[in-house]
Amino acid sequence: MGDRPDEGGIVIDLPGDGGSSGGSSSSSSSSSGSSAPAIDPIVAKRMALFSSIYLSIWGEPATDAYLRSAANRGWNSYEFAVNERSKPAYLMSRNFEESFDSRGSFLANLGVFT
Amino acid sequence: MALTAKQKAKLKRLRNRFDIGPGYGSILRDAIIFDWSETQLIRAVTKSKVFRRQFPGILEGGNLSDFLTGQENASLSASNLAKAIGNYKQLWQAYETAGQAFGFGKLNRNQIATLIRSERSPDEFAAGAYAVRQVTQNAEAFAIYNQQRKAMGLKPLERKELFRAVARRDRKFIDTIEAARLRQLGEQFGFSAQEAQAIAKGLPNFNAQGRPTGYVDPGALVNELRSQMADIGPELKAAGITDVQIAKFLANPDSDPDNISSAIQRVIAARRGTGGFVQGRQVSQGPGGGPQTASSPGPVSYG
Repeated sequence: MGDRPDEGGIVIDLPGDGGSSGGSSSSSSSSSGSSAPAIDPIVAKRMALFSSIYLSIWGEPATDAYLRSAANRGWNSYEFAVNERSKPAYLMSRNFEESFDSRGSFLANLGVFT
Repeated sequence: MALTAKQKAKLKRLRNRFDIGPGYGSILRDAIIFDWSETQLIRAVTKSKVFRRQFPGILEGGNLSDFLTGQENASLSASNLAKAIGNYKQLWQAYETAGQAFGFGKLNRNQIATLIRSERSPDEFAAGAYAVRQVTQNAEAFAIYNQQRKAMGLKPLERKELFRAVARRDRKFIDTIEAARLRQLGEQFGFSAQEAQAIAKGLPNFNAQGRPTGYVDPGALVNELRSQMADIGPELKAAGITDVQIAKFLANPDSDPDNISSAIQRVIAARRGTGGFVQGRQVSQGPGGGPQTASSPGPVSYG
């Protein structure tokens, strides 16, 4: 926690994700027919966690394929969140702006910014 | 992560809200991406070059300065950092005011850091700066000062070295200035460099804990000495008490290094027995049994 991961190594470029062009994935969801392979319960739990993180960062849901791919990589939720926030498009988001203001105000109140 | 021109412009716009440069901007960006806690953010800020350039001397090793927080090994908490920064800014302003009042002009960041690392209060710095001004106000005074240094086995000081000497907690430096002033103001007594240094050493400009309480201008001492010597000088000489001894005693009556208070009391008692008035501070027995001085009720003329 707190160590800076190699940014270049963790931004995933997933099929159907549109790369890092804005972070929003296509909203097509896979149909779960009777022939669909069973999902590992751990992967399913991770997908649920990642889904919530993705929604909080981007304000829209991720595709199952995107979530499954991230979960299959073995990432934990922190790694997934860092990956999302590392995307250049995140800098342009309202979420980033609010976080910047909040942390900036914290330091300004301590007197760091003169 | 390579940013587009638009993304760079956005970051700059956010930085402008706090009037900060790219250094702090990149720390804030990392704090957001990696979701740092307040503690992690403070640690990253205080480790950064931009912070250390902004507040030189605020850290001792990895901790906040004891002088600025008022406690030993203060942790890097938000409250301690705010306290240290608040005190830092106040001190900076006070140092600058003193520096400008006594001829050092506008202080730079390194000078501020030196004063903070030396744990000099603004009053101490002002006293030292005032002392320096006493010996640098003209060429003659500066020459006498450097003669005094030479006599004490010290190298002559260049004007540019004066700040560092003031910033350091250096008793000998202040004593030497006082001795030079003593010789200049009390020329009539003909004190040697060593005698003047010994008298100056007795001036109580350090408290019991060794903390400087400031430079003591020997002008008052010289006036007191003139007053006493004009009045009871002959009797004191007859009692075997020298000018140097009486000067050392007047410099710090509490210490009485040459144990002359009883002899002075005898001289005063003899003078009172004949109805004579003794000017200036009077020596008597204090509540603790030792000598003490008190101003006489009569007018005192300082020549």
